[in-house]
Amino acid sequence: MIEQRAVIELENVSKTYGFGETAVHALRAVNMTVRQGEFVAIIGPSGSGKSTLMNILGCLDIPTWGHYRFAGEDVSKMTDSDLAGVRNERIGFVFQQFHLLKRMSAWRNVELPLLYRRVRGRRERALRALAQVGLENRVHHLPNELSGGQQQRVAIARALVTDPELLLADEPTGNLDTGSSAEILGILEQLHLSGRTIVLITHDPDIAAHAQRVVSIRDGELTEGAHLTVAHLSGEPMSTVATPPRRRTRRPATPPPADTTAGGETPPEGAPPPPRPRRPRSRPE
Amino acid sequence: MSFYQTLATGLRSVGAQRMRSLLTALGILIGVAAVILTVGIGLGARQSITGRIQALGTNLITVTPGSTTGVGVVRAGLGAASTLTVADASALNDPSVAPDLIAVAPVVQRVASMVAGSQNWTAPVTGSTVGWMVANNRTMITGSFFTAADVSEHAHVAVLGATTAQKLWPGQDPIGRVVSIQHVPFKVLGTLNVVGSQGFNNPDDQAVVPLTTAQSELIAGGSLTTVQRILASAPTREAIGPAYYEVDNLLLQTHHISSPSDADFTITTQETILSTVDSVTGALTLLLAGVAGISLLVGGIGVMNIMLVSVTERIAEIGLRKALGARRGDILRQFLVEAATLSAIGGVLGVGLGLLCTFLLSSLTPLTALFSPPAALLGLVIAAAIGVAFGVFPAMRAARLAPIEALRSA
Repeated sequence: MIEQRAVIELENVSKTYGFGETAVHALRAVNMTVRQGEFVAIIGPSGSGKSTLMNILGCLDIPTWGHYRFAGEDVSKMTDSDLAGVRNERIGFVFQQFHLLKRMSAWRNVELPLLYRRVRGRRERALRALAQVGLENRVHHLPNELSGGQQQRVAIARALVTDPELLLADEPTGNLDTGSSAEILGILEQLHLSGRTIVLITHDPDIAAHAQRVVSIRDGELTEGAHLTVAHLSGEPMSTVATPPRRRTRRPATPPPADTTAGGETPPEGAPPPPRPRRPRSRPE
Repeated sequence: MSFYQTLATGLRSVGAQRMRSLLTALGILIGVAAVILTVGIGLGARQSITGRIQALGTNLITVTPGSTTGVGVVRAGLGAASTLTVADASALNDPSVAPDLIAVAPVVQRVASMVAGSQNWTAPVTGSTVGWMVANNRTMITGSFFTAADVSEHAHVAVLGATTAQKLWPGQDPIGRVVSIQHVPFKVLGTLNVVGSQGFNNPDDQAVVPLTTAQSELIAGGSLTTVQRILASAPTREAIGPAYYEVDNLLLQTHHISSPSDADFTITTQETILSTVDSVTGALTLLLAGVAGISLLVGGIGVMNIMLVSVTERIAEIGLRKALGARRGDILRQFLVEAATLSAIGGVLGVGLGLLCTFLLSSLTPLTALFSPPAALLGLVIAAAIGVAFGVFPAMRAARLAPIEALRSA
């Protein structure tokens, strides 16, 4: 298989909030690579540092230490303005709360990222992106005239409209019922099949299971977990080997393979099952 | 983001939040309109007062008995002692002594009852000489003024103001008719031109008779030598100064007074009255402008509150825009356009409302209000500055937030 170029390369990335005694180490020397075309789920309970990781991956925040190369470019030292450019042109965001502007119609919302760069044919591009998520008949609707699932599809269209190199979805189904969740996940899987690079952040193993590769985060440390194990899927209790002990300062016994490519068939030993038993759905809003 | 895009985004946002936009614009509107209206009322009052005083004749010099210059010595108040005489007036009338005076008119005055047929009327009666018309800047609309011969012969003739004539003979020509003033019959020679009321007296409602006749027959206990006032007129405004000194010197001389501070008369020119009136109405305008300034300030605080609230409730929007690639400048420009648009709408409507109120006030009430472009401009600038400052500063703070924090504030 041809090695795809890396879209995301994290090298010993740490993020610390506060100073001294009260310092919170949200990320501890994280290493991770996501290659073009991959569909990676980052799974972890609340407080695990996955939001921090998401902010850094999305160039919404910069690491305290370490390097983050986005498509080969080191963004950890970029200025606010350059980061805004990266977010605008190269990353598409999908948020749990949708974050649509409620007084703007669907297509105006989708058009939004295009306003921040000089580009022609914004309306056509917005309409095309809406068609891609099956909302060609809802372009003039305001967000509150759409169902939750439809709103999230508008948000996905907004993320796609700039044709970004990375689609970053933060709990995209967190506010949706089962039917709408399936709809959104279906769209993400389809986008994956058409070659998009997607990073999905969730706390729900069922959602993570739609990804091609799962990375688990706990206490600010990553564990490469390829696919969920059969044991996990059948609801077996988690293996003790699998969960990295808390407050470990050393890297886990199995460092994340930097070159994990699409579809890694053999899970490394001790694939971490999710920290909680399965639940049918993501957490209530 | 291009300028056009910034503008379009800002305008769309203004249009999307109609209630908020309306309230913001309303605050500015009221402030600007208040400034325009109050300053307009002040200016109008000043103009109407000075206008009426100028109608009296700006070149008029009035000499009244009594002194207002004394310090520390008990002196008779203004007008209490009649030290002015007909001889003083005659002396002033000599062009070789006072070359800068074109007319001199000694004056006595009283309020008298007039009867003509079944009509009767009460009005001031003035006794004077032929110089009265020139000194008071008046003309005749019908008939003629009395002559010097009438004055020397104690003639029973009178000239009436238009209002007086109308009251005595409604709808009729008064010339040649006889009016009985304090039971003394006078033949009407003509009517004076109309100059309009001056508020404190009405020059269209009076009778003017020869000085001698008035002194001997109308003023009770009247003396044939003293007069109540002497009016004099300079040919031009520039001649008022020299004329003033000529009058002053001559009267000091004829009254045998060596020091000007002991003078037993007071000279008043229209200029001194005008400058007094100017300072009074100036203070009035300033007071009104102060009131307007306060209303502008209150309006500004309203605008500030609405802007602060609206920016605060839109922090999430700012966060989202930043997450989607908006730079700090993009956010600032968007809010600047929004604030400027609201300020401009409020300002323009405020000028419109101010104009409308100024017009309505002038046409529906006795008040005069003038539109003052500088006041309108000042009001506009201040209102716009308040709107923009309080729209942009909170936005600037929000734009500085990390996008993710701003997003979470939703």
